[in-house]
Amino acid sequence: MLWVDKYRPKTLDQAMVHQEIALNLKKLVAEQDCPHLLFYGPSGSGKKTLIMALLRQIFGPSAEKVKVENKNWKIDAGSRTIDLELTMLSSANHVELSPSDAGFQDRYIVQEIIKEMAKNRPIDTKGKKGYKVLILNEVDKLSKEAQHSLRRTMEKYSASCRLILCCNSSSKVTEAIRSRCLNIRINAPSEEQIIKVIEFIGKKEGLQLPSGFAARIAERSNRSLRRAILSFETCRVQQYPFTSNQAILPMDWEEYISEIATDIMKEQSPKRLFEVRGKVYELLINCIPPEIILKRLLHELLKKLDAELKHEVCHWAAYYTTAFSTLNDDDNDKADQEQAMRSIGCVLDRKPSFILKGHIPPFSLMNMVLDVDRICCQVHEHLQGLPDCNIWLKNEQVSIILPLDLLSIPGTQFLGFRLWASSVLLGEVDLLFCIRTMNDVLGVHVITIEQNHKFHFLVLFSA
Amino acid sequence: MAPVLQSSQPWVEKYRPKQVRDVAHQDEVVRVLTNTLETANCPHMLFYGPPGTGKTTTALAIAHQLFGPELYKSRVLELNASDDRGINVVRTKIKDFAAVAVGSAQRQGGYPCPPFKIIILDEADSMTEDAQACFFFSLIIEPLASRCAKFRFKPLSDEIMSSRILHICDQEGLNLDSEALSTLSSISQGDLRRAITYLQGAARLFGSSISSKDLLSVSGVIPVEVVEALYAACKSGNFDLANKEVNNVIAEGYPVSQMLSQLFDVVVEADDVPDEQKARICKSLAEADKRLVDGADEYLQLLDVASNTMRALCNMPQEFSFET
Repeated sequence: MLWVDKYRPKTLDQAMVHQEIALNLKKLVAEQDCPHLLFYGPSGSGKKTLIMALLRQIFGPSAEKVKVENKNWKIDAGSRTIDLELTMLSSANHVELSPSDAGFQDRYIVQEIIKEMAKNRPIDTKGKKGYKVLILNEVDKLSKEAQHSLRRTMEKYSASCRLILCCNSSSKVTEAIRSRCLNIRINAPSEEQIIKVIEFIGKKEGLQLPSGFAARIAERSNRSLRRAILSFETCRVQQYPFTSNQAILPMDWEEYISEIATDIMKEQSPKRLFEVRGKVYELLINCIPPEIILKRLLHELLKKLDAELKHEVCHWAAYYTTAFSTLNDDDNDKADQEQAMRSIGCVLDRKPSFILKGHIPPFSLMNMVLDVDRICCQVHEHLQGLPDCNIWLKNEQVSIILPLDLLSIPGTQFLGFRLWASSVLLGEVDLLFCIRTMNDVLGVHVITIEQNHKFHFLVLFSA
Repeated sequence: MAPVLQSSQPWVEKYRPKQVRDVAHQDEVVRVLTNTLETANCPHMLFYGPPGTGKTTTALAIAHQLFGPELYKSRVLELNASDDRGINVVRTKIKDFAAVAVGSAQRQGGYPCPPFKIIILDEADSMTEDAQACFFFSLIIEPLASRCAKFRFKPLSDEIMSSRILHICDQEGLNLDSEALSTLSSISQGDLRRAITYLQGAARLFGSSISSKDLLSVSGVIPVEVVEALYAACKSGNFDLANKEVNNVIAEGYPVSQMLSQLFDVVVEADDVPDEQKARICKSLAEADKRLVDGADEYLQLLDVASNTMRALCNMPQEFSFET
C-alpha cells in the first residue's frame, strides 16, 4: 500500500492538517443534518480525505465498504438513445461519480442519472439517516448546461439527498450552484505542516530522517501533501538510510520542460523552434495536459527571463490557455482524443513562436523552413495537384511558396491541401508555409485559419 | 415530505414564502398578482431579475394559491433546467399539456381554480434557442395568447433583507449582532437565498451565536489583508514578489473570480491612482474575468492581471513588441 493511502486519516479526529475544518465538519453533521457542501482547493490539499472522513462520521464504518461499479445507462433523449458508461463508487449510503467523464454528454448524467438517484430515498430500518450522499468530483469541469441542470435538482430533492461537490477552482462553478452550497475552502497545507506529516510518517515507518531532509521535500512539493508523501516514498525506495544531501528527484516531465526552457533561452532561431516543437509534442504524446505544460514552462521561464520580458511572456501564457479551454468546449467528440490532441498541439505551436518573436528579427521568419531532405520528395508529390506552387530548394532547405490567394479558395482544392497538411502534421514531418506575394517583403504577420476547430494551422506570410 | 425530515431541509426551502403577499420587497409584482388571485385572470408572465430575489418563489406561490393542493398536479406543469428541455420536449410535453382543455371555473376548497393551466418554465434563459423559439411560437398561435407581461424583480434592500434574516433568526433561535447582520447583507449583495444559505452554514458550523467573522469565513470572501498584499506587491513593481503573492492566493485556494472583484474594489477606491491607470487595470480585470468564465487557468489569469496592474501602476510600457 502506498504511504499516501496508508496514512490517510480515516476519521475527522485523526486529521493532521485542517484540524479546524475537521472540527467544524464534525459539528456540522452532529445533528444528522447537513447542507449541500462544496469543497474547493488546490490538488493535494486534502479535499477527498476530508470528504471520506466526513462520510465515516455520518454513516459509521459502513461508509468504507465501497464497491466499484461500471454501469451502463441508456438515456432516451427523444429521437435517439444515448449510451453512457460511467464508473461509480458506491456504498450503502453514498455514491461517488465524476460526471465530467461523460464529456459533452454530462448534461444527461445530471438530468437523468443524478436525478434518478436523488429521487430514491434510502430505506433505513432505524429510520434515522433519511438521506443519502452523492459525491460529484470535478464539478468545475462540468459544462454550463450540466451545471444549470444541477441547480434545481439540488433544491427539489434536498430532503432525500445531499450533494457533496468537489473541485479545484470554484471560479468555474456557476454562482447559482455556489449559492446553494456551504462552501468549504481547503487551503494547501503550509510547508511546516507538510514537514510535520513527513516526520510523523517517518516515525511510524521507523525511519531515520537526517535534519533538513523533510524540509527539502516540503520545499519541492509545491505545497501539495500528496506529492510530498509520494516523493518521500520514492526517496525511501531509492536509497536508505537517507543521506542529508540525497537528491529529491523531480518528476521527469518537469525535468523535460525545464530542458525546453533552457533550450528556448539559449538560442532563438528557427531551427531551435523546430526542436522545441518536437519536445512539446513529445510531452503531449505522453498525455501531459497542455495547460500544465504551459504553466510549468512559464514557471521555468520566469526564473530566467529579465523583468521586462516576464510581463510579456506571462501575458501570452494567459492568452493561450484560454485558447485551450474554448477548444475543449468546441470539441464535441471527446472520443476523438487524437484529433483534439493534434489541434492543441498546433495551437501550442504558437507558444514557442511568440517567445521567440521577442528575440529574432522578423525577417528570419521568412525563411523559416525545413531542413530535412527527404521531405522535399513528399512535398513535391503532394503539391502536384495544386496550381502555382513553387518549391524552393536552397542550401538543403525547402521553402514552399504558395500564392496568397490560395487561402481564399474555399473549395475542394484548399480542402485537399488542408488534409494533406494534417497528414504531415501527424507524422514526424513538420511544416511551415511561407507564402510570398510578388510584393516586396514588408513584414511578417501570423495568421491562423480555423476551419472547424479541428485543425489550426500556422501560416507565416509576408505581405 | 415526511415529518421526520423536516429539520434537515435547507432553510431556503423551509422559509420559502407560501403566499404571494409574503414575497418581500416586490410590491408591484405582488399587487398585480393579488389582483390576479381575486379575478382569477392571469396574463402570460415573464419574471426576470437577479438571483435570490424571489422569482421561483412567486411563481410557485401563485400556482399554489390559484389551484390548491388537489388540483395543482393536474393544472400546473413545472419545467426547469433539470428536465430535458430540448425542442422535442417543448413540442410534445408542453403542447400535450396545453391542448387538453379544462372545465369551467369551480371554486374548490376556497381556491379560485380558474379554467386554465399554468406552465412554469423555470430558468427559461438556459433553454436551448430552438426550444425557446418553438415555445414562443406555440404561444403565439394560441388565439388567447398575447405578449408576456414582464415583471422585474428588484434586488432586495438592506432593510428588507435584515428583517427577513431576523425573522429566521427568531425562529431558529440564533443570536446575530448588528455588525454580523450588516456584514451578511453586504456579502450577499441583495441575494436573499445566498444570505440564508450563509446563515445556515454559519449556524451549523459555529453554533447559535454568529459573529461577522464566522459569516465571512463561510461566504468565501477573501480576507482584506490578502487582497491588500497582492495590490501592494503590484505597486512595488517587483514581478517576483507579485508572482509569490499570486502563488500564495492559489495555494490558499481562494477563488480567483472573487479575487478579481475584490481587487476591483480596491483599485476603484484607491485615491492615489489616476483615472487612466484605473481604466487600464479595469480592462485587464475584465479580460481575465471573461477568460475565467471560458475556463482558463486561474493561476495564469491572476498572474496576467497582476502583471498588467503592475505595468499600469508603475508606468511601464503597456504595449508589447508583438500583438496577435
